[in-house]
Amino acid sequence: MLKAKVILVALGAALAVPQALAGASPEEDRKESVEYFKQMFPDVPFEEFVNGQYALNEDRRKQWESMQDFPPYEFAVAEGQELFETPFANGKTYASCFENGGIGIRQNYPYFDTEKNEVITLELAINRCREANGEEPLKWKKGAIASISAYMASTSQGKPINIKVPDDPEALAAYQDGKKFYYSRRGQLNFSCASCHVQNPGKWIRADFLSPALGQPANFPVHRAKWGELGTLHRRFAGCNNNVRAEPLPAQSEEYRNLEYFLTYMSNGLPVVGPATRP
Amino acid sequence: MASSIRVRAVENNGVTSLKALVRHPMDSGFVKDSAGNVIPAHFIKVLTISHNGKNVFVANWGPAVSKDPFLECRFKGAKKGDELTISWIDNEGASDSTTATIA
Amino acid sequence: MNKPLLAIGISLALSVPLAAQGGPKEDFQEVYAKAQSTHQDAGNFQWTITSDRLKAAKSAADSGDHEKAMAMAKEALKLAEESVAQRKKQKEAWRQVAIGN
Repeated sequence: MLKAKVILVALGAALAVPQALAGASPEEDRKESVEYFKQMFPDVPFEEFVNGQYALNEDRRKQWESMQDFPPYEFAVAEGQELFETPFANGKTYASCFENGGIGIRQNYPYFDTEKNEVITLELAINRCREANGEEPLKWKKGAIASISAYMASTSQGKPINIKVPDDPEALAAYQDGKKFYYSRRGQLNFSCASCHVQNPGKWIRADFLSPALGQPANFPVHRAKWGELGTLHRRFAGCNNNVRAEPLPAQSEEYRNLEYFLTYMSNGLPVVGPATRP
Repeated sequence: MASSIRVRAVENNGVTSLKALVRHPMDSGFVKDSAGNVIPAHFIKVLTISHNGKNVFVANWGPAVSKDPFLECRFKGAKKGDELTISWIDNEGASDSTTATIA
Repeated sequence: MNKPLLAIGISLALSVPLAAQGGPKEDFQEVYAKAQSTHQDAGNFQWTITSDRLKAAKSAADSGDHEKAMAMAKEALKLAEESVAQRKKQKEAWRQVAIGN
């Protein structure tokens, strides 16, 4: 029996698995994806992908670099720290809900909870923490939740993103669901996320410069000049969907969480640089 | 309460470069909130940088300057180790100021 | 068979469905309801523009502009149908472009 297994494994390794048979694993997807972007942008060092358009456009990079002395989100991060450290009415703090007291853990989010069978994002964990301690949940897209998330991200600066897709059918299904969402065309304009960020990064769409999918979640929550404030990843998802005239889904809905799961996994190994600024 | 002004000043060859980020809503008075009510105008009117009691930079701001203004300027006549005072006053009469040492 | 009589008979028969449709209000309700349910059928693939047309149809109907209401409802229905077609197509179409499949 063992001999047969060994032979089969050897054969499997020797043959290139045909596409029709392959249910490519997340890791295989990711490697292919990284290879794809490396070929598209051979002069961009791997780590630089987290800077999106600033890794591809010299003029924009200069403007961004000159802002880095006093990034506009500085105040929000300080506020976020204050909120994070202030105890709830019951005396407990956010630290009690997170590994390592919530410091330096951003790179592990989102993760798949195999007991609850769902993707847990950082913002979801923040609000669940509040509810578990008798507090009202915060609004999902901006304001306090973005500030707290930004503070927590700032404690993980430089740490490599480390998303896990365990060998569990529900986790794989969530990953697949996110992947499907990413590549499906939607809205009257019939664009998928991939239409812009996989097929056309480095190009202009009206006055916006498209960044590649690789590294995108690393810089969230993001201070967009357009918003004049911080916003979460799901705020951006909703905005992008709206831009192609697709009805946005609710922030932290299952679909958006699965999408975040897939998208962040694709950026494994890249450093957390959130919060960051973008136009 | 933390200062609303974050500043960094560096001197090189007689020229001092200063960058500052000022926390202020800078409401123009033309924007309505989600309930349809006008958000009253609330903006910095004057921002001043002074060195040895003399104003080296005076900015007359107003509703056209956007939220949390970022300022960058250069001036001569100061040197490393000198102290600068940055202060502002807004249309509601509130003010804030901070000092910074030139690096 | 008497040709003219046949011709009259046929044209009468053809005109009956039009007469049975009733007034513009009922037409509108039917189209609007159909547009709404088709829009629902699009699930996660709903278009914002469909919602816009549905809203425009309702407000036109509420203010008595039946012609505009009907036009908006018809547009909404057409857009909703396209979004449903998109949902159906994208069930598998995404595989063609996905990296690593």
